[in-house]
Amino acid sequence: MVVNAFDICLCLTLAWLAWQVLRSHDLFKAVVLFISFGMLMALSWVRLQAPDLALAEAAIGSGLTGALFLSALQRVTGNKRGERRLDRNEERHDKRA
Amino acid sequence: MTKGPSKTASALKRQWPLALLLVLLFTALAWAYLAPGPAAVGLAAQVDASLTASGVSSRVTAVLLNFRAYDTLLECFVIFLGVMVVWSLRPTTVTAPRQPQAGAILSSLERLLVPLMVLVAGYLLWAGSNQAGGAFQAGAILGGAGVLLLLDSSPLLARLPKGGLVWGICLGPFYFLVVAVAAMLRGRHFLEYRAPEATLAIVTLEATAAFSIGLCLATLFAGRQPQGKSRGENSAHSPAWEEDS
Repeated sequence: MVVNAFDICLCLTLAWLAWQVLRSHDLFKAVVLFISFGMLMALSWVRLQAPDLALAEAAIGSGLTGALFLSALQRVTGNKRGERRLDRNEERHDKRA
Repeated sequence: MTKGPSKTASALKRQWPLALLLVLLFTALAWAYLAPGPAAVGLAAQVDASLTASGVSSRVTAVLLNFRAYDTLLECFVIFLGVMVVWSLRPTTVTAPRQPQAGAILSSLERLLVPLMVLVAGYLLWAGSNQAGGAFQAGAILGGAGVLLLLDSSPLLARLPKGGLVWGICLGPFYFLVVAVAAMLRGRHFLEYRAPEATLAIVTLEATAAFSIGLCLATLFAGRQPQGKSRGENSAHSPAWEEDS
């Protein structure tokens, strides 16, 4: 199997993006990174000669899941940009009924 | 976002077991990939041998909708059940703030893109029989079009028949089930269909599945069951998808 520089870059970027998604404190940023992860994942399916999977990944894995995450985020946080995930030892300030 | 360096350092300290696990996983995967072993034997030869009996000329579609149609049937029902679960959840007490009136850009983009997306979905559905494409991809594009319409609560949605939503969501999975059982009534196995009538079966299955998957995905995005005739309320003048304010 011929491994070229593009594939190596793709692999490294995917791993880096996954790590960034996991360690991001800003949920909005995490969702945006997840969407870009899905797009690059679709690209790697194309490189693996699986166009069916690439289409499904781009449309469902990246597009619709991203939209669902964003709408869930809006419902949870009230769409205040810059809000971040609370740490375990942090008090929740907004007590909601 | 006003985190000091000490906080970041402690966060990093907490994350090192995760990093170690990831490195271990990566090493295991790399070893599994690079380790010498018997050459991988795919099922491509068997698939190619019985492709003519499947009714379609695309290998992927033949596997998904004929040889392993049972998996696809279950997948359709998984999405259907997802919608049922979302609908059975109580509406959240935290109400999202009312969305601002959509701008001209979104509504003109929607007018431009939605017809195009429907066209692309139709093409993917049609292309699925001999190249990349198929019901799930077409359904996802349809779902995307639905999400776009929902984003600015398009007046088009209010004109859709409200009772039709439930029927549309049920159509795909239950038509699949009917086809599967119909094969049994004709003295064959569950989901067994062969070359002459298989093409028609697969094409209709894909079309109904794509339609229902699109509806399901858009409904998942909308979040909860729209108010309407299905609950015995007559809210003919309010849009079906109105957010609770």
